[in-house]
Amino acid sequence: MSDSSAIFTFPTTHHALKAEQVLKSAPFKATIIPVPRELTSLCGLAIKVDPAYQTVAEQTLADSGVKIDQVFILPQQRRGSLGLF
Amino acid sequence: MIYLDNAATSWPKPQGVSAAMSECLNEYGANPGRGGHRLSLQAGRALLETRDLVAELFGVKDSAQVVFTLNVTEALNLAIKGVTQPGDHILISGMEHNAVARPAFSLADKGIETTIAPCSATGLLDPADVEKNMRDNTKLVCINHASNVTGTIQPIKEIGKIARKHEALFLVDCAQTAGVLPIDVEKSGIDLLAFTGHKSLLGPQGTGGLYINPEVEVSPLKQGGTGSHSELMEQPEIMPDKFESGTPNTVGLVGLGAGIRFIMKEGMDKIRRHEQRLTRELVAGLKKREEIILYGPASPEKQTAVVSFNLRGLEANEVSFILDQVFDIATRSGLHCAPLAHQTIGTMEIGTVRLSPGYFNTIEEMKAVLDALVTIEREGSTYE
Repeated sequence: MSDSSAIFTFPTTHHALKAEQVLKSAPFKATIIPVPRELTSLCGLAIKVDPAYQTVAEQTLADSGVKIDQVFILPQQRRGSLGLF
Repeated sequence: MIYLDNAATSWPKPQGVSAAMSECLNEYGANPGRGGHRLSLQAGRALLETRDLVAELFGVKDSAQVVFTLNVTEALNLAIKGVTQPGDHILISGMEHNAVARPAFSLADKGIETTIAPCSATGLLDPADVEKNMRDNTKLVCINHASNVTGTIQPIKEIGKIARKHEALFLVDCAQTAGVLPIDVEKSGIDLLAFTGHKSLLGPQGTGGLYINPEVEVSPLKQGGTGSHSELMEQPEIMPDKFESGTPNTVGLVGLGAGIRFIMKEGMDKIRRHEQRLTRELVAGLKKREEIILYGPASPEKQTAVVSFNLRGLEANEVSFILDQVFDIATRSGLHCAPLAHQTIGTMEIGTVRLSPGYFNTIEEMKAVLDALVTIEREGSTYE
């Protein structure tokens, strides 16, 4: 497990959920999460993937026509003790 | 009860529709797209599924271009009012429903003129009459895919080509055809496609929508919360949120998804063939009778499962009332919210009785209706 996460943000909830649907069959884990507070985003949902898969995730979403707003890399260790993020 | 008012709303619905709606309401009835909790996500995913199904049905590549509305009337209002500016011209046909005619003519005080391309006595629009009525300032051509009065199917592909040639937008009212006739927005050059969920798509009332070509600029009818871009005072420009302010009819849209899934599973071809058989039975039975005046193409290949007629010597409303009260057969009579269509077929003063069977009707039921009409004709005066 990487000590950071690639966080994808989206222009609307439709695109965030579409991204989740498209990445469901990907060989890596893509989790839908609320947008972390320190990020600015157009909608409240984001997708988290291991940074090692950032490029392939971006490509998969682009191939499926899913609009991404931005991609952020956030460190994992600053997350709370429940470790969900 | 023999239900023959499917052109108004389809009934009964496939079993899966109420089951899916009940599951949504009871198991995950949260607000979609308004939070990150799991129920909200589940509701959001269900909405996405229906949006994807609608997109697949109409050959739409990006389902974000499908906007949900309350019904086809709202979708048509959004399209007609959202693309026109003062000085523009709108061309509609002589078979349009008031859902098209009223919003179009309401724009007259903004300097937007609407004119009508005439149709034949059976309700058919000749593409040459579209061509003839195009103007330099024609912004929008809006055509009923099939009439709710006569079932007449219009040649939308040919009309779409004419609209494109003149650089006008092409809006198709698919209220009567979505779910029963194959529709491909790209092949037919459709810029805007308005549909309703509760007729041939077999979903519940309170569902419908508009497909918008990504290259077409449309202004929203309403502004409000979208669950996105919340810090901005302006309405977001991004689809589908631009047109979907406020909490959607999630439960209804889940039901619509179940309706579309039923159609895809059964096969649209099979549904259409069955409805054609029913239409053929009605048309053949009515044609034989001298006292019946039959309207429309009287050909199952040229119409949807909508058959309008009058019985000489009796008012349409009376025939429909007797069919219901005495024979337990539900039909609709009158002008069917489409006075233009009645002007075209010559029934403005008297209206028609409309029989609109659906996929769940049987040939035996069609025979029962024809028998009932024989009895009404014979006994007519006793009901007066």
